[in-house]
Amino acid sequence: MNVDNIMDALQIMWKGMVGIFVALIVIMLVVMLMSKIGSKNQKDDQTEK
Amino acid sequence: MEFLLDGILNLEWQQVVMYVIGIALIWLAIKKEYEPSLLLPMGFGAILVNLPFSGVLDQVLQGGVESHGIIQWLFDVGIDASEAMPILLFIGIGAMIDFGPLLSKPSMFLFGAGAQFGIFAAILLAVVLGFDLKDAASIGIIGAADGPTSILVSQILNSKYIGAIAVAAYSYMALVPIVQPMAIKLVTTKKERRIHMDYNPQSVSKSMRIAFPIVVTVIVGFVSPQSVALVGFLMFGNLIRECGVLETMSNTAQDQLSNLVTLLLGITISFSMRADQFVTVETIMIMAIGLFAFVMDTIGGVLLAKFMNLFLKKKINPMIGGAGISAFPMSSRVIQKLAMEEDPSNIIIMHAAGANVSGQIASVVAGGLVINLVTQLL
Repeated sequence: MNVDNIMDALQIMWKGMVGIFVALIVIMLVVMLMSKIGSKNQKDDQTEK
Repeated sequence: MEFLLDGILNLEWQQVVMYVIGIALIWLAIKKEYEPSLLLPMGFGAILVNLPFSGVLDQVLQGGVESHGIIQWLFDVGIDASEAMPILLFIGIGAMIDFGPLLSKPSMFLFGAGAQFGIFAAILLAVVLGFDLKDAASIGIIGAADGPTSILVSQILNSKYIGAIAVAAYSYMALVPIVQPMAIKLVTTKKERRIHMDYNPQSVSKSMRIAFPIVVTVIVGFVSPQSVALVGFLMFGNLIRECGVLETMSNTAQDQLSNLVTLLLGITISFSMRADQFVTVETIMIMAIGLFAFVMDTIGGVLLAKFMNLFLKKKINPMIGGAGISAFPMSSRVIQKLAMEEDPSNIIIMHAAGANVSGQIASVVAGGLVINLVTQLL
């Protein structure tokens, strides 16, 4: 068993999981923002009509 | 007449084992309908490449005449030189995916992330079992539950186990209906599996559907540049689907392109199923680690949902977390079936589908991150 490799694998684990969560949370927030802007525009259009 | 016996006289027992494996894959494809589009070409290819002096591989004939084999050429050009085949397949996959359930319930993104845990748990296990880091990372990617990503990552990391990894990835994807219920029942109670969830989706405008693939490509490109080939082609396919002006092209990507690339990919991957590389103890270990990766993916997603439930007033059915793997739509169907087993009136398929398509994005991000992190450490 290579201890250095195990330490590297642990490093890949925490960095990888953090990276995935960061990427998906950013996408999630942008999607939420886009849908908020979209629904606001829709409301504005309906008010104008 | 001895020349007629050259083949049979040079047959080795490992090649016979590969014929059995090839026939088993063909049987699983036809009889059990387990990923038939991949397992059937791979099974037939496993027989082709393991015939003594097989003409589908490069070889030097008597008299020093060089002969080029078609399967070796396909591998060199379509996978080794450019990873073109798995990447092209992503256009078709992207064109098939409807991100609507995810866009109408963005919180489901989190489960796609949580259910990638199996990748990293499997990398750790592979290292503990003695694989070097690049092979361990390639094996761990089986946990992405995504065949093309597994092939691409193991090829870029130059793993010698690409054949076993592809077989494990596609076999376990086909076995999701068996693996996931077992893993979910390990970490949930009946009461948790009976939790009902309201479905009040936000409306998803056409402009949002069009903007989504572009936004995802840019964000993932910044966070994980190595994922751009995968996520970019996945999202390109989805943009073709959602733009509304390329219907014929979208249909071509979903049908003809996907079928053609899948067919070629299956038989091409069999190049790495030559007996000398495949009939090893490592192959059995890879199959075991692959199973572990799928189980840990499911457990990771379920435990994330249970953790979130500690803070939520309206509880999430934790099985939704298990749907965050990339095997779409099989995983969401499995979760729905499990929910109905516990309570026939419990409909959670739209939530599960949202988590499931999130897993598609998360798995390619994971693939890029693994390449990036491993190459930094080598």
